[in-house]
Amino acid sequence: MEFLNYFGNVFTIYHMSLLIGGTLAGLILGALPGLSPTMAVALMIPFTFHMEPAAGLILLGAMYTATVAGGAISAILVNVPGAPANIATALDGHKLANQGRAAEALYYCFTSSFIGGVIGIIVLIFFTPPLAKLALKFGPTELFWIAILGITIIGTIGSKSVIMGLLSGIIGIALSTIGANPMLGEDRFVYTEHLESGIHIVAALIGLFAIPQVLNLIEKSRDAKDAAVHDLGESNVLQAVLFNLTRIKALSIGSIIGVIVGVIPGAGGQIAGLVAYDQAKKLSKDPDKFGHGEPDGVIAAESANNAMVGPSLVPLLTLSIPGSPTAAVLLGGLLIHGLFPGPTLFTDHAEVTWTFINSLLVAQVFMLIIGLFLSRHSGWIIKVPAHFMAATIFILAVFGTYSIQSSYSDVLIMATLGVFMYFGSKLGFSPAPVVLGIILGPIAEDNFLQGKLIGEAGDGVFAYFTSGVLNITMITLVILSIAYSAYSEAKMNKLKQKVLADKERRLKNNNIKGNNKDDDSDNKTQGAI
Amino acid sequence: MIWFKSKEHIAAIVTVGIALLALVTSFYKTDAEVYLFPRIAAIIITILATVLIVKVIKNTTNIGSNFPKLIKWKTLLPGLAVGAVYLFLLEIVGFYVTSFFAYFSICVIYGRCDMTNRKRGIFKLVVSTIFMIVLFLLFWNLLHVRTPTGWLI
Repeated sequence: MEFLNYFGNVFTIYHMSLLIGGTLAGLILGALPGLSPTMAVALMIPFTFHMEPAAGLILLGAMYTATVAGGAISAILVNVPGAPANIATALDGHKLANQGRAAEALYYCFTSSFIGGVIGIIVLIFFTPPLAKLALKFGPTELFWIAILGITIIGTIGSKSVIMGLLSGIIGIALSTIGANPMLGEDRFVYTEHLESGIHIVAALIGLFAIPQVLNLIEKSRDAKDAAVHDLGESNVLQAVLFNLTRIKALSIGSIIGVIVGVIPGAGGQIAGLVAYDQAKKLSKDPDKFGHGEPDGVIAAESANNAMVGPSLVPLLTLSIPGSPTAAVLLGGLLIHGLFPGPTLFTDHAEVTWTFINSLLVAQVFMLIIGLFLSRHSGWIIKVPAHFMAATIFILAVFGTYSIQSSYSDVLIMATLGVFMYFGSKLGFSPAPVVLGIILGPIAEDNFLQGKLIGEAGDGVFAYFTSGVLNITMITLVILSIAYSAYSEAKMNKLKQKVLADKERRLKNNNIKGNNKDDDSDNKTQGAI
Repeated sequence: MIWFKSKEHIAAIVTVGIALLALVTSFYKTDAEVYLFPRIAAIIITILATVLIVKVIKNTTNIGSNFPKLIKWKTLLPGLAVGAVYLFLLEIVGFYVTSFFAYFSICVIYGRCDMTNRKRGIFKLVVSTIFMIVLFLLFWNLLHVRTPTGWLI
């Protein structure tokens, strides 16, 4: 119950105002279609750089929680999920809006997000310290493999294509080697003065997540039509909240699935929401109601995607493996404040860590209150034109990157990485593995070089890196994650081909029938003549 | 021209380019000890690029004749040009003035209404001005970030 010792730290005026500001900003940013939670948190990192670590993490944590819940607003009102985590919410949420029950759907969404979120944070509080103790046993080889495992998992499970995901991760590692060699201090790949200090984490985070979204927004801005926002309808908040609390089955399914998916590194809120929705439908007495405006669909999906937030930080805070792309950005936030995931977080930096975790619990309460209030006034948020969003994000990205080290080179690196990522994403590369490669690359290299020295002095480098229970376990996990993802991808491709073949066959049949009909009508006409 | 019939093909070609670049820059006239880790990364990139090429060659028969348009160059180019000019002038003219013009330019170019619509133009000008004032207060006063002033601010 160590966390209780630091609970009071959250309730200072400064921290509370950060929580309120972060939650409000997160809900609004999450509601804007086209802006991902990952980008919102990445864009906020420069602001936290100038704060004390606990305050900075409180702001980032509040935004993380709120953006996931805020994405439901546009999912319900215009059927465009604000974030991938809200895809399942749109299935029944938008149908409820079609029936004139949009406000009611939003109340369900924030109430179930709150319940799921609290359960998720409780899991984070009780599971993180024991798992962190495991990291005490890690030497250079284990730390090397854990970095590789993190990149592999995000690259395989979190990406559509295993090869492209792995390539993205390894390109990130290659980019992280720009600058001085950690052991010998000699420069590498420094072809211009702008690359002398290597690639700063924040420049990479903002460039890779924000700039592609700016370009996507301006690409779509001219085609975008004003979204048809539904009337919010009349609904009593208290009644909706009380009804929500009676839906124990949907809440339990959502929360349990959210927690399980959250702990699995790389899985993310999208999977949590969809799996919970599917299970709630399967276990329902009236599965036919799902997809036609069933409140349980919204409740299960939203409790799941917020229950995922806390557990997604468990592997991050203990083993530096992020549970979701946004958690990968949070890892960058931890590192720029000099906090390295592992047992030291709970010993040397216990005050900062527990204040941050406790603040996540309080953030759920603010998310509920502000979310319920915002539900009545959310129509205007999604009407913000894309060109204003694009211009704002672009300028904020430039100023935010510059503010970290007062370096113009960082701005140029950020913009260059962003433009390349935009074109790369069109070809199937993902930003999350690249970012993780850049963040974990130096950790992997440092420990690889240390391990190599120790290995050379002992039984040999290969034997040193592949012996011991922890090393073997992690190597097995790396292989398993690649094999599992490759198998799933092959299975999915087969399914796609089958669906395509069926479609083609149906089209052919329709054409033949059409031709026959034409022939028949021709014969009839000829007969009549 | 089968190689440009799907995005997987273009991705494979780009990946081969990246692999070659990684191999050349980390192996050609470089110290083996200093470049040990980048060399390992370059080899893994090459292996993955090869796997991707093999996969794409295997799937060539399944590709239809319709190649989707990946990038709307006509829409994108003005934005990229504004970005490039903005970044070039940032230090020379001053962060805030350049940012104001970049913000306003993006709004004017990508706003959905007619560019000559005076009422909308004034609205965009007002929004750009307010945004810059907020930005100035936030970074200059609150975060104490001193941006290079250049000719102006």
